[in-house]
Amino acid sequence: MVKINVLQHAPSAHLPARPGDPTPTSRNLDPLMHPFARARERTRALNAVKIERMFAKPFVASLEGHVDAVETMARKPETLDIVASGSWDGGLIVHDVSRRTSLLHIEDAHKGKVSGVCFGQQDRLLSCGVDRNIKLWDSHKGYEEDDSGAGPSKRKPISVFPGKAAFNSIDHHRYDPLFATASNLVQVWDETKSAAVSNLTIPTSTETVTAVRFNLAEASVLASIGSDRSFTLYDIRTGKAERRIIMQMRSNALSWSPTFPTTVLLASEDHNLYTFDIRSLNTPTQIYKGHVAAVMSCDWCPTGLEFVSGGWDRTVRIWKEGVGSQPEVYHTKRMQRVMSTLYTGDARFVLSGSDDGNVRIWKAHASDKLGIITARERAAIEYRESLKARWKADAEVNKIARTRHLPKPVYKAAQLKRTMLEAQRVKEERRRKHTRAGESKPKAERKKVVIAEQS
Amino acid sequence: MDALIAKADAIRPVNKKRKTDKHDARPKPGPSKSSADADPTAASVSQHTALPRSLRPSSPPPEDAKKYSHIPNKKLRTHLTRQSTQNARSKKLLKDAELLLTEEAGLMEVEGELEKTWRVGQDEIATAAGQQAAQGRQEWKMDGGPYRTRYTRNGRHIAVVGKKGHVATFDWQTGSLHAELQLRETCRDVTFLQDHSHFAVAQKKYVFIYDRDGVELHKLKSHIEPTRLEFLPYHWLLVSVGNPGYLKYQDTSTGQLVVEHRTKLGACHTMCQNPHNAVIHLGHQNGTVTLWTPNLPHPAVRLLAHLGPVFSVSVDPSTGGRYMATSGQDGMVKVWDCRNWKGAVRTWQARGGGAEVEWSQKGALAVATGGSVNVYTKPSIQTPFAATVSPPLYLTHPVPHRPITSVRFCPFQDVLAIGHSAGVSTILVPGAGEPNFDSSEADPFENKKARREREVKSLLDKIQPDAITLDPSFIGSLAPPPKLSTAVDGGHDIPYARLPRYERLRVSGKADETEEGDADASGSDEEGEGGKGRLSKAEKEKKKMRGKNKSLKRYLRKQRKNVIDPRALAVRKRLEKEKAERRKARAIASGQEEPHKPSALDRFKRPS
Repeated sequence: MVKINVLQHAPSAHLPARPGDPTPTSRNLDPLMHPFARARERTRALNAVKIERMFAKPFVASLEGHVDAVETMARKPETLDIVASGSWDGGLIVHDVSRRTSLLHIEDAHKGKVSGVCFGQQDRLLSCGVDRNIKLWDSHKGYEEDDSGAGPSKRKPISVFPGKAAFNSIDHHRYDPLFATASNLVQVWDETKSAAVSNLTIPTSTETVTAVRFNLAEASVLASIGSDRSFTLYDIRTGKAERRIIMQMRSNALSWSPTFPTTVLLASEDHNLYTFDIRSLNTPTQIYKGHVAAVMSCDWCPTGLEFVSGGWDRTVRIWKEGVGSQPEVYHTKRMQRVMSTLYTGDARFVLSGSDDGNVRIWKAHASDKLGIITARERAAIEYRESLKARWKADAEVNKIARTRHLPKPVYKAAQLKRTMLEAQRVKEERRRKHTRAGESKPKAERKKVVIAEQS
Repeated sequence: MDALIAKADAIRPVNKKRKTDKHDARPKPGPSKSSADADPTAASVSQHTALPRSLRPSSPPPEDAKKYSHIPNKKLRTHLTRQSTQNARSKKLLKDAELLLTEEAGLMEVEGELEKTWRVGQDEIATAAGQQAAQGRQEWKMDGGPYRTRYTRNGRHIAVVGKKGHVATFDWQTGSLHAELQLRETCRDVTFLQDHSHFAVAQKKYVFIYDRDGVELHKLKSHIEPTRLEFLPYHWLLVSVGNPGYLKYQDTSTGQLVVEHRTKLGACHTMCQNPHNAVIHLGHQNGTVTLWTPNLPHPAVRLLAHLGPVFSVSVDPSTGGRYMATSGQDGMVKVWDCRNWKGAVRTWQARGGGAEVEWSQKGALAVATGGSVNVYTKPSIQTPFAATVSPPLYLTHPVPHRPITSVRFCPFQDVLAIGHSAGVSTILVPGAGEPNFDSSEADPFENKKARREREVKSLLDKIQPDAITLDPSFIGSLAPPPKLSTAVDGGHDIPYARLPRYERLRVSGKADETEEGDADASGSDEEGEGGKGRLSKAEKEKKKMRGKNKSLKRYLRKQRKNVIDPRALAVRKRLEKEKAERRKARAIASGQEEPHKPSALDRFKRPS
């Protein structure tokens, strides 16, 4: 007796039961059923990375209003999109980033440049300038005319705190009505008192302090950077400088990490950025190399995973925390030296204020789609992301993902810098080769950054 | 400040430890302090932060995941561990995927030793089969000369072409005809393109592409007198070979003629593709079978398969293209292992001259010769067997209409289409077709929308023609290590590009080291004149360097002797050691020297 069984597919199992139903699908994961799976996936990865580059249009808008270079910017805490900017002409503007309008425009807030702005409590805005004054403004009223009938441009500050030297930076305490300023010394002020509450100095130094920032988690800890290449930590409760390091080159900006309280980011004059763990200040945790001129500003993403920096080389760069090279680069033809950069509170946009007097809005991820994204689209985007991650070691995929068009001066400067560093390295190597063995040992790049540590 | 520092164990004076830290930081034995071992800052942060639900692992990590505890770099270790965990998880999940295979393969089994499956005729099979499956037994009587057939990849549609120009495509299950053409010229082959919406016909002078309704879309004038056509679906390449002996690849998505290869082996009447690496197999008049890829101007493999002309070639899809069957005009059928071309795995004589061969999805081999079609099944045809006897027969079917010009298995069905002089007959071969199809690849039940979607998707995933190689897994695998290494005795490996020019030349074996050798030779000359110098005295005299600046060279030579470069010394030492080892091995091989026997005293030997 022969047992015969001939293959037949039941149409009921493979066709929709009713006209509107989705067609049933069947799966067979046998690799023989999927020839060229790898090659096809690679093609898909290649397409994904090409699509990303094709849709990389990061520039969103430009906020105008300043006559001169934008020196400083600050985001209002606990809002997504209220940003204040101060300029070299003494003007002060509060922008609504999502509407791209200005909520408040004070044309001559200070004589000379506005060197620092920050938001205080209850819609108050603090600004300091090189005219040795700190002014406290009410940003809430907007353009409504006040009682004097002076009009919006003649707005009066709530109070003025006179200082003895030109101020360079200002930062407000997280929850107390205190703020700190940087001039030739670090001072802590109370909003209700006209004179400084305390002066924080370190005895041996005669520096100009260029920036101060309060720690976000431990609000009484204050960090400052100075023109004598120092980075200093203070505690306003003890009123003393706790730690201090002298670095190879001076820093231009600093920013505390919003998620990891002991991490601080310094933007240095030597084209690099450094993250330090303040528990061990002798070496940075990571060096971020990419700018081809001094880095003028930096700011962390609210997620603490990325940060933005703006440089003298007219570019804005977006870095991943812990990845020290190949940042995302933004540039336009008309953007000049970038003096201030900022993340918005939703981590989706980046602001840059530059020498040409504009505040520019960029996407934090260049190829992001703005607007509503459907679930299918979201799934496709996520699949493309995973493809890119999976095939990033492929030479062609990596090349497309990595390559950025740079303005010619930046490109040439990078080339020149590379040549010079290579020559230096080779010279060092040769020198070592022709000295007695073991006499001069190579020093790690991270160990070169900090010259001295004091406490 | 203190709070941050105390919590985080943060700021300590540079030289001495803080007093407050002392009793805090010291590790105490006991289970209660286990959390203190971790970074206190991280611990303090983790209280206020939580991983999003979507990022939390859904199940505990599998036990058999590889741990990389020996790797000191924390970042790399985490990355590798995560990868291995992911791999182990997905491997476990792969077992669940077998639940998806719902359909059962066909089969024909006998109970006793005396019963034979080949005694079972088509009528018996058709009556035993279900109503749906019995439709696979058909006889289409047509008078257009011997017919050739081709199925679409999902097995739903069939195209038939007669020698005298009768071309028809139809859905064979529902019996609906798409197009029927009387072309009134010789037609030699037909193939569907990406699906049943387009098909190409090899006509008397050129290849023509028609759409589903039989409207002529393209005349491919660069394909002259084509005899055989193939379509590579994942590369969108239409391949043709013809009487002039040119193999041509035409990209059907862009319309470009990608490449044409001159086979230099005359008119070619046999072609098939390997579905797993898209290599084209050609059988030639002089008995060779050649394997072609678009990126090589010569065959990737050239094989003398038969003593007469090759009649038919087919590649086994069930083993990933590992086996190839060929048949010659002399009636021999051979099965070859494509990994190792040293002789055929199995050879037998088919009665009745040249045989058409074809493998099915499940690995059944149909051989059509003379007046019958024989089907053989898997293990016996692929196991090496020295004698030239045919393997045990699985099924046979007599066809009264000679010649039989094509046999094609229908994908995902137990159906074999036989083209012969009186039309096409299809027979049932239980167990020939793959029972479970994958809708993302080929779906016999797909509707119009799904077909369109697939067309777009497959165009997006089109693989470039230069990715076709014998080994398709080279994509995404590691690059071979570079041949040039500059490491000396495990020392620092300076990249090749950074070496000075002379070193680079030396490492790649292109440096002119004759002068150095000269110096050595002169040194050895002084020790033993004519001891074992390879050059004769006259030769040496002839090759001796003459020139004006001899004194300068001598000076330089002396200078060079003074320089002691540790790298060069190490390299020289290593080379000498290797040379000595080679000499010793040669001596052992030629029997001049006893091989070294390992002894217990070896452990006291100094390592050399």
